[in-house]
Amino acid sequence: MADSERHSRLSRLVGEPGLTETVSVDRIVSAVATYGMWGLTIGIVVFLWLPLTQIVVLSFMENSAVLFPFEGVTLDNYVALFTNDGLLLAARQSAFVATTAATVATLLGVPLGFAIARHDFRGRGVLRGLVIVPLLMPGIIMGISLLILFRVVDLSPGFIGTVLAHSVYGLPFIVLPVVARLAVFDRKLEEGARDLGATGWGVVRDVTLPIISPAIAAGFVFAWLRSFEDFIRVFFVGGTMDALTKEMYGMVVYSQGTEAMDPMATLIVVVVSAALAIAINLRDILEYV
Amino acid sequence: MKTIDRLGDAFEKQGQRAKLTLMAGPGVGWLLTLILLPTAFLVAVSFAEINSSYDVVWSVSVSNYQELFIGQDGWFQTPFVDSFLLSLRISAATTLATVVLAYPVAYLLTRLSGRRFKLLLFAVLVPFFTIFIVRIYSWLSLFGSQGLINSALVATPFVAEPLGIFEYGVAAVVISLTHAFFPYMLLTLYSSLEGIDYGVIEASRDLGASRLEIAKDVVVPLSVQGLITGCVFVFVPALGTFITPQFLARGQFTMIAEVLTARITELYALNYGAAGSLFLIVPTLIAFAIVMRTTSLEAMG
Repeated sequence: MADSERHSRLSRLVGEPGLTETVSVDRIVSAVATYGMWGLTIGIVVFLWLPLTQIVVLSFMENSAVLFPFEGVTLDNYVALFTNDGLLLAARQSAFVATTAATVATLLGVPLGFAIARHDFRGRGVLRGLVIVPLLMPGIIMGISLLILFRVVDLSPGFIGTVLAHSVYGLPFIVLPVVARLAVFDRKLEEGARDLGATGWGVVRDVTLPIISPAIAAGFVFAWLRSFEDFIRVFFVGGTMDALTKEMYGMVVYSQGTEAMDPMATLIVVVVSAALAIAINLRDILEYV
Repeated sequence: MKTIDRLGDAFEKQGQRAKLTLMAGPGVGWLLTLILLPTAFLVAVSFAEINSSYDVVWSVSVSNYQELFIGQDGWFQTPFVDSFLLSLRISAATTLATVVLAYPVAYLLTRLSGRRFKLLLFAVLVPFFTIFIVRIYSWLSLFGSQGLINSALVATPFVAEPLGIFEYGVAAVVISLTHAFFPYMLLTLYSSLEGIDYGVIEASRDLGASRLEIAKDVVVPLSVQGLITGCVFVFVPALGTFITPQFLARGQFTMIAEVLTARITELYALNYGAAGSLFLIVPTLIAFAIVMRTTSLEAMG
């Protein structure tokens, strides 16, 4: 086969007939890379959605443990969820812990983010590092070390201990987006407000905070979720306090009442993904601000 | 006049300092008391002993470390060492898998815009808003010889009997950990790939570089920082994972977090747990040093 003939064959494969003479291995690589990348990405999305799909589908299935044999569609699992008082109580308790912890993290994290992003002070470099440690530290270390600390200071494990643990765990989720957002913040907006007579605090309240609030909100949601779904920290510092994940862990270990787990996860994923969809679309609008 | 100016400057400086203390103080205090102080206690307790009423007796003894490393059959023949080595291997495999899977998706994300970008971002992020423990429970019924994956495969004409890789065990743990930590890798890789000036890629193409050369010599080196950060954010948390092996190893093996948790809950051996935890802190510190060298905080939001 002549070279030109081979090239034109390849070029037809690549789908660019105009380039018969110049087609080269490079083009083939490029085509393979593009299609391969899409193929791989679709495959990965399927892989990522596999457990999620199963959770949602099984939450409506008569036979809630496995998909086959198929026994019909039902809302019984949701009934099981809303009649499982122990689980609901644990979920409320976890939601309360998560809300408190994420609020504490936000109140501490936003000013800390401002300090790191806008001020130069001694120890700033160390602080920048320290802030990400709660994110890197394996949960079991945080759990065991806080358990020891609470023993030393005689704080019995329970609600307060868990809120303390989760608030420091959530801190990076607030500080990092705030620092990142302030780094690209257009300070002319603040100068403008100041020129128009706003005071220092007024500028922050009326200009800076509203603009960076999506970053704070996203951080809050992440901190909330990480607290809500945390098992190992609450296992060590939660004492006898109810927690959703502890309850679910027991359900799986003793295989009891597991039919309520899929409905619970389904409800959460619906709420959060709706929020995410809104947030992703809202960012467009906010970028013009 | 001069004195008043100097006084004013001093007041302003003090005011600045007070403001800064007010802003950063509480957060820093939180980090010091809830991260650094407990870690110091952890180190102290690892040298302590526990008396018969399960109280910590402060002392300086290396017996906890001996217990970790010296078994009945000699040095390094202990469940702790076995679990630790296995945990390292599982974490390494998980990290490698997330890199391989996340790189193309992250690159594709940088090349997309508008609706497609949002759709892909949404598609890869939503699965992570299911509660972690429910997700692992879900893998429980996907894996196994009777699991959904194997049942589906056996139903096709290509597979005769359940595949070993989809049984409970190391592979199941690595696959579900890869799933769990995928977004960390994706987002760090994406933010470093997004920072690459596309002009550089075009320029190298104009200068005659092939696609492979561009990938090898331009894209990968320029995104190596994000790659390292991503690896750290996957490797270290994966090392301390507890629920995943509990559910998916089915008792075939234990990872380090399970060994420590069992000792603490069953024997109240906080000192043993503390000593063991330190071997998770060392990788954390190394990881921390790497992240501090390679990444700026601004890039991590």
